[in-house]
Amino acid sequence: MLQKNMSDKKIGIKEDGTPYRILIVDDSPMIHKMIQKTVEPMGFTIVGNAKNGKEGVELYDKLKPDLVTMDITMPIMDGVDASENIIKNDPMAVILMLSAMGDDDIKEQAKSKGIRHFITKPFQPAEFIKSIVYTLKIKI
Amino acid sequence: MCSLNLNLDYINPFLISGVGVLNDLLGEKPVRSEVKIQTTSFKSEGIAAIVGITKGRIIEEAGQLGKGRILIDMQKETAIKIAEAIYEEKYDDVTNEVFESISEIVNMISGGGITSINNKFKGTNLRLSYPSIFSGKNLEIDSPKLKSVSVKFKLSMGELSLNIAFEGIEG
Repeated sequence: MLQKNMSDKKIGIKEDGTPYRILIVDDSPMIHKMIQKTVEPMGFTIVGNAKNGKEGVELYDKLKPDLVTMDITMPIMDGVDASENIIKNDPMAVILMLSAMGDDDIKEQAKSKGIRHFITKPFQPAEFIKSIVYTLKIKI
Repeated sequence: MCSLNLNLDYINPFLISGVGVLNDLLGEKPVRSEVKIQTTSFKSEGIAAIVGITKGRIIEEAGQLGKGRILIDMQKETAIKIAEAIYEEKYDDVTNEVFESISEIVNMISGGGITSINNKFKGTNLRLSYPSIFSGKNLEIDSPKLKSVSVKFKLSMGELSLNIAFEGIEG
């Protein structure tokens, strides 16, 4: 049912008609492209692209997106530190951690910093959309 | 003939990850060859991407498991076809997108492999370095302090080699 509803509805559009706004923080242009291809047809809008955690923190403060997709291993500032900084300034920030590594230690470390949602790369489009729906608590 | 015994606990996670990553990214399950011990320098077919493995904490259960590197290698034409499939665009030559695709593939295969090892051997805490890309036909790559094994993944777009050089692969 979730799958059917996801394909029937523009689930990236809020009830007020505006799109959910997503900030991508990842040092891989390929991941930016994959996320864009996955979410834009569903109505979500990519409002910002950051190549490292420091840029991600700065763009979050400026753009106040509904959701951040956050890589872990990045130059200058990694995703765990960036998420900690974002949550410190905005405890309501919604962050979906997206990493090639997803062992129990890393997940525990992320949880201890206040990150509740985690998905490993590579992702299937449907799986990724389900994670966003769950993370943003979108009603389908 | 080499008499090296292999510890499959440390090799299989990368093989499983390789099949899974290529299948997920390219929508095609690759056909995997037998694992072969690399007794000579690894000769590149054109484009190689390497990611280093560093160790965190070592625990008794994991033995000497620690440092190493994962390498993927393929012909230039195969790399271009892989990037075209991922980006859904046409490339006439090796572009940044091609390098980026190959770099991300080695990162994902390595990440999946060490995630399994870290979860199986609690406390091992292996981590990855940033990927590096090398291009040039007949480039020879050697890791003199490590034993390595190679396997090939056959896809409709060509063959991709995975070479695993890793402390702990000797049984």
